[in-house]
Order: sequence, then C-alpha cells, then structure tokens
Amino acid sequence: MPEIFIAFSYKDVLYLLQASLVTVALCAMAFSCGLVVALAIGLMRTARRVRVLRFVAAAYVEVFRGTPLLMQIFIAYFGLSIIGLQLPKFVAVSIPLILFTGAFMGEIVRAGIEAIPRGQWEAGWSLGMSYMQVMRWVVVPTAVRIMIPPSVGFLVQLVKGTSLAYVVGYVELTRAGYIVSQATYATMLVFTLVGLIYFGINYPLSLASQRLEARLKRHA
Amino acid sequence: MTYTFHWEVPLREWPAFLWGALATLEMSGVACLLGLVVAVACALARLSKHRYLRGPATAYVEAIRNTPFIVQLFYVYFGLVTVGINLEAFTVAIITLTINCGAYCTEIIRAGIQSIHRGQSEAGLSLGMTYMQVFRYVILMPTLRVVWPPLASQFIATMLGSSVVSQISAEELTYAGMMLESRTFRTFEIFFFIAIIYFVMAQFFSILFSLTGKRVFRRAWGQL
Amino acid sequence: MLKIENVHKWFGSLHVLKGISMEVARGEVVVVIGRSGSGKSTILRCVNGLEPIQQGRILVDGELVEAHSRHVRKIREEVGFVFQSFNLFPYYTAQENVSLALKIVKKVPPDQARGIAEQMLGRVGLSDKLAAYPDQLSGGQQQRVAIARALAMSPKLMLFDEVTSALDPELVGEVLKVMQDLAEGGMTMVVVTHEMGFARAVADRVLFVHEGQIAEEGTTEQIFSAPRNENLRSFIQSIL
Repeated sequence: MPEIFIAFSYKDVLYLLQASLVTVALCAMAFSCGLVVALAIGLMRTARRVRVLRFVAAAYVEVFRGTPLLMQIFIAYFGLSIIGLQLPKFVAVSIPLILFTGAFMGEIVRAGIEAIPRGQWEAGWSLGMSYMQVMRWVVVPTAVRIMIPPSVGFLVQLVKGTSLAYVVGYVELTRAGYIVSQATYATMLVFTLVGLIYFGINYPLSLASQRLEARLKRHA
Repeated sequence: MTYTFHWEVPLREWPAFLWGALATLEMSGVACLLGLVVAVACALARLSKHRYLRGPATAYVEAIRNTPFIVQLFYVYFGLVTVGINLEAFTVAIITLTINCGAYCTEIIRAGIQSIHRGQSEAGLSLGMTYMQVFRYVILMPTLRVVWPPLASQFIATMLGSSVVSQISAEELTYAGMMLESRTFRTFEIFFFIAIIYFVMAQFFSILFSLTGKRVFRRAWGQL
Repeated sequence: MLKIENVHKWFGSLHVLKGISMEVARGEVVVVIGRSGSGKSTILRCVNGLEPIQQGRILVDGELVEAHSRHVRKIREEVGFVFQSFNLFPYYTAQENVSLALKIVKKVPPDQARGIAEQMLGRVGLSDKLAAYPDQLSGGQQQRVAIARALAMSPKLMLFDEVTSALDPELVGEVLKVMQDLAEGGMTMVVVTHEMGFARAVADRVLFVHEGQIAEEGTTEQIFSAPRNENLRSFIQSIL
C-alpha cells in the first residue's frame, strides 16, 4: 500500500529519536531521585524497633504498587496544578515516576537488606561494631551486590512507565510516535519504529539483568 | 489555593464507576484466562528441543516484555484498522491484554517448571512411577504451587494495567472517569476516587488469591 | 574474669536456662558439653550480649553485660566470639576481614591494622592466604580466619561456639590445633564443643549442661572417668 509512505521522511525519524532522548532523561531523573526515596523506604521497612516507620513504609509501597501508574500520573499531574504549583512539565511528570520508583526499588532495597544472614550482623556486633558500623561496612556492600540485578530489571519497567506520560500530553517517545502517525498516516511504520526503539533500549538492560543475576548466583 | 474540592461529583456518579469496574474485571479476567492458555503453550515451546518452536516463542516473549503496553495497544488497534478489520475497542483491549499477559505468564510458568529439580523426576522414575505419574505428582503439583503467587501478582498487574486501554476509548473504569471529567472538569477528585477503587480491587484479589493458594496447596505453602 | 550468677532465660515460654552459675578464672580453659538443645550455646551467646537474659547477672571482668545496651559494645571489644558458621564477611579478603574491626572500632591506623592482621593470620597458619576471599577457602581455613579476626582485637576472653561442628572431619584437626596453641598461651577460653579429645587435652575444667542446668562439673578425669550424674553417663556413652 503506497499510502503508507506519504510524507514520512527522515525528519520524522529524527523527531522520534529526539523524543527517545526525552524518555531516557525522564528515566534518569526518576531513577536517581527514586533511589533516594527507595533507600529511605527500604531502611524504614527493616527498622528493628520502630513499628510506625515499618507501617508507614509498608503502606507507601502497597499504595504505589496497588494502583495503576496511569492513575498516579493523572493524580500527581493535576493535583500539583491544583495546589497552585506551576512546575515545568518535565518535573511534573517526573514526580509520580519518582514515587513509583521509590516504591518498587524500596522493595528491592528491603529484600537486599533482609538477604543478609543474621550471622553477619552477629559477627559484626561480636567484634564491637555499632549498628551503623555493621550496616555500613558489612551489610551495605553485600546488599548492593544483591540489589543490582533486580534494579536493572526495574529500569526496564521504568522505561515502559515513561510511555504513560503520553496521557498528560507530554512529548516523550510514545506521544511523539502518535503525533507523527497522525501527521503522516504512516501509522504502522511509525509504531513499529517506536517499538523497535523501546526494544533497543530495554533488551540490553534485560540481558544485563539476567547475566548479572547468574553471576551473583555463582559467587554465593 | 483557590480550588475547592467537590467530592460529591465522583460519589454521585457511582453507578457509572460500578459499571466501569465490572467492565475492567471482565476485561482483565478474560485476558488473564486466555493469556494463561497462551502462556502454557509458549512456556512449553520455550523449553522444547526444537528451535523452530523455541525461537518464535522467545521472540514473542522478549518483544512484549521490552515494549510498553500502550505502544502494543496502539499497534494492534491501528494495525487492525489498517488491514480493514474494525473491531470494538473493548475487543481490541482484550486481545492486546491477552497478548501482553501471555508473555509475562510464559516466563513465570517456564521458571516454575525449571525450578523443579530434575533429580525429583529421576527419583520418581526410580521408584517405578510411569511418566504420567511422575508428571502429575512430581512435576505438575509442585509447579502449580510455585507459580501461583507470581501468577496472582501478574493477574493483578494486568488488571491495573488495563487502565491504559482507556486511551483507545475502551469502556472500562478509567474511561468512565475520563468521560465524567470532560463533563465536570473535576479531574483530581474523580481520579483519586477511581484510584481508590483500583486499590480496593487489587487488595481484594490479592487476599483472595493468597487464601485460595493456601487452601489448595495446603502443606508446603511457605517453602518456596 | 567471667562470672555468671543464677542466670535464667526464656525463649518466649520456653525456659532455656534455669539458674546457670559459673565462674571462669583468668587463663582458665573451660569446656562446656551437653546434648543439642541443652542450652550450652545459649549460655555463650548471653555472655557477649547476643541474647538477653531475664534473671541473674553476667559480669565480664567486673562489668555487667546488658544486651541491647550501648555499653555492651565496649565489652564486646574485649570478648572474642567464634561462630559455628564462621560468619566471615564475604566481600572482604582474609586480611581485610581481620583488620576491619581494628580500623573502625578501635580506630587503629590502616598500616598498623594490616600488620596486626598479617601477624594474626600467621599465628593461625594462613600467611599465604592474606588476599583470598572466603569462598576461595576451605571450611577449616575460613574458621581459622574467623579465629584470627577475633584474636586481632586482643580480647581478654575468647568464646568458641561449636566451632568445628560444621566442618568436614579432616578439617577439624587444624582448627583444634590453633585452639590448643591459644590455650597453652594462657588465653581465657570458654569452649562449647563435642570434641572430647580436645576437652581431655586442653580443658582445665569441664561443665556438663543438661536441660538448662549445670548438672555436673569437674576436671577432665572426673567427668570422663568417673561421671556421677546419670544423664552425663548416658551422654558420654552415646558419644564414645
């Protein structure tokens, strides 16, 4: 069907590639800030004696994993403008993604800390180390290694999650694809390209995650 | 802050949301069941010796798992239109959800089958069991027990992910919210209310799956 | 050096230690024997505050041991503990395992800490394994590193919790030899073990723990050749 190639040119391809940079930027923002949140959540969830912290963190994780990301983006985006905050679109879209990252990565952090056998804690304590010292020198190095494969796996989810910024009209890769397809009517071609770009970003991450996981199992 | 919250707007329209929620459940339920069938087939294909089975199955799974659902949705929707097939948005949604869920469930089932140690089937055979008996008692039940929690999570994730089909105007919960929003412009209250409905549904099914699993796989539930 | 006075401990509703009292003098080697579940490991874990006690007192060199307090950390700097499952830090080399606590707890400068670590590892016969990671070492070697790690802190008292129970039989000897050398060097030790040969060779005193109480106490000859308690007699028979 020759109509597919109406008006579709390399300029559109460039536009899509630019948009994919936006996607990557959103991910970088969400992941770096989300990691901070995740560390806080993870530590709160493993707090030995303060039950309130554990409860609050658990509730946070339940809420952000038990509701659709689409809803989170809607609510955060429109909620922010209601409060009167006029933030640049990039930031407004990043915020729900950061909170989302915080919840999922928080679980990964928690699993990492809990994967450390109690014997490691006891060995550290028996040598006279304080809780923070054991955490910093014994638990964290091991936990970080455990957390890396699932974190890379989560990045894939995050990249896919940025596609939902489409719904508030933010121009990332999916919205760009929609715009181009509306302009050129080369819908199938455009979305195939969009899919390939996402695949090109995510597939290496997935492979890396699997390989890291296998390497971790060998050393255990 | 000049905004005043009008919570009665979404609350007043609860019948629309009820229908929406039921549509969401119907959509996700069908997609999950069909997806499960697809998943079992593809899991076996991925584990087979024949490359012509393994290859396509692996390609399918990797393509779906590495691309966003919304892109898949548009692809199927516009793809069908281009080829001249005009289906209802609801049907397109179910088709895409099935394809999506199927890919994720394939991985879950494959991992479950592989997690059963080969030594166990060897032990079964050494005790004089037939292949059918080994399959039924040594492989099938333990596999079901292992895959139950991640499958349950995936089903709930699919239900939550179905909110995206609102973008092709499929009639479900999120779409009901969008319709109301375009009439009343109470974006925040409406979607907050809808998020709560999703949350409650997700919690409900989470508990339901967990209890069902504990009853059916009574003994070794915790030993995963 | 170590005084345990009428200690009672419950795990939930289970009464694990029912009035344990014992004293260990400086330089003494005390071996504790008993069946699994008799509470012998628990006693040890209470001494360095890993487990809290509900009644009684434990005094290390006159200092009261209170689990979960800030003060117990100071006591732990002077009490070395060696675990049945070694508990070496997996992503540190042998030398780093031994020097870590020196650096961060006792604030010893890195070069000096390194030197002490090398010395300690030499004492346990592992001078050639300084840069090895735990997963590259055999069980016996790992346990010897664990002993070196505890020794590096110059403890006044060393506690050994069934340290050979997790080892393959042929690796037990090398660990026991290190412990024997230590004993002959005058270290105050409390050793929970099943190794009767070790007890005979090294112990100044042997304690038999049965169901949370010290059922019999005496020198090695008294315990092994002339046991009075009938539980002890059947225990010895089941071992030999």
